[in-house]
Amino acid sequence: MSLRFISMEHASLLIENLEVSLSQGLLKPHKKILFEVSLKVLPARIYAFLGPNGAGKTTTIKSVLGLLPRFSGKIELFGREVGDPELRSRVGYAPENAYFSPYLTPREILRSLGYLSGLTRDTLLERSQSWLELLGLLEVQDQQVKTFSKGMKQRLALVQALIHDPDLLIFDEPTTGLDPLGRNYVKEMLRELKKQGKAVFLSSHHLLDVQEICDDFCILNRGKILLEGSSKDLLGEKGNLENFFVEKVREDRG
Amino acid sequence: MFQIARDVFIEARRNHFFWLSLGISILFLFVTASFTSTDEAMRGKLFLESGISILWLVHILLAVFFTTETLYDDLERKSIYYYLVREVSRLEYLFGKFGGIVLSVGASLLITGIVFTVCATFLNGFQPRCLVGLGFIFLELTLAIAVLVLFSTIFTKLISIFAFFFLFFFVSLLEHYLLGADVGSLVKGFLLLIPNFKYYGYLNMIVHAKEFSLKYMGFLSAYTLVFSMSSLLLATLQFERKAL
Repeated sequence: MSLRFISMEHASLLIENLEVSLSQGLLKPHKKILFEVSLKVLPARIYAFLGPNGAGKTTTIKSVLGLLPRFSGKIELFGREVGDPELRSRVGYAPENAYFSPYLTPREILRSLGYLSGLTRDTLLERSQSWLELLGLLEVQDQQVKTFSKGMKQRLALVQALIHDPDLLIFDEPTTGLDPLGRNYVKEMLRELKKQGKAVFLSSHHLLDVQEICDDFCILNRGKILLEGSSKDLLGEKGNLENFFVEKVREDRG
Repeated sequence: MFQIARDVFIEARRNHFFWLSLGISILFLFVTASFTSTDEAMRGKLFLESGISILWLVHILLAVFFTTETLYDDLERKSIYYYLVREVSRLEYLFGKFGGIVLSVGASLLITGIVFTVCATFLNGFQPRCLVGLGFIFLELTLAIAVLVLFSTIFTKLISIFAFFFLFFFVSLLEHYLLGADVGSLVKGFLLLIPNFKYYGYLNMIVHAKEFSLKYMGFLSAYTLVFSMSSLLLATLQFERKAL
């Protein structure tokens, strides 16, 4: 798989020839989900990981996070093979359809996850307050999550991913369930992260938003990367990502 | 691990089911202590028997509820990812959850156990064997929770609950019949390796004032420790292989 569009400087995330097969249930054969997936995410860039439903985006993300016990190929984070527990402190992850225990408050959730990430009390307090404020959750930090809307939970998921100041952010559908204001908060946040030199790897179906903020993207379909490169190279100045995406996926389906 | 256990404990404390079961247990204890018989001696005996039985039943149900809810919620709704993408191993996650559930069920047992002991003292005078009996229930619950954690890493929620109750009620019967029967030593050995709840016979000890020895208490504590740890380690082995 070609990585020709992106310079070869030190990658925050490098995937080479990733192949994953998953069990379909007892007595059923394993099904191959990913075929030779290769991509590269660089620091201070926003990389969009695009694909229709069922393309294998979440499976790829799970492989990167070490949530799948078996895969073939190579995954490196900051030049080191994934699986090293120390690397986890440099990665932040927010899943799609954020769910938290309904009986805990954001303050308790962030305290717990912050301590598990090795933060001190003061750092934790400072960071959680500033991110909660930026994402509009400061006033509800002592309310139990059961009173939250889907969008508020989604924003809380983003805060927990940022709390330990990771260098690589992985967001699976970060704007799902958010209203236009919430989506705007998230776009601002992503730009801010990029300014700070963080690498952002996100999957999303909101292609207009993605086009606005991403530097690089790839399209995954039926477990294979169709193409990968910088937005500028692939779309030009006036291209439309949504049309481009539909066209490429249709072409691949024949 | 302690952070995870602490979260589970906070969640349990705020769960309506926790307070409901606590309320029902205490109400039942008061009703039994007050109205079961007009004869005071009989009332004391009936209170011990029904009181300890209700505490046992409520807490077994609470253990099943908390264990399956906590683990399956995390797995099905993917909130387990928040822990595992950090520097938390799957072993630490499972032991943390186990610790939190034991702490939560133990807290409920402690509160209801105090009410039980006060009522029993009022009716029969202070009897140390009541406290030992409560300790036996706690040990039994600890093993039950460990077994449920193991099943939760293997089966679906319903099958886990079914498998647990099967083990809980029928393995001692199976052992009783099979160990005396003409079956292979492999089957007998296998039966001895399965956690068996028949050893926690506190009802006879409390109600019928049967003797209990320190040796037996030591055996039971060791049995709980060995079988709980084995269940949790097996659960971890299974969990490590699982695609989440």
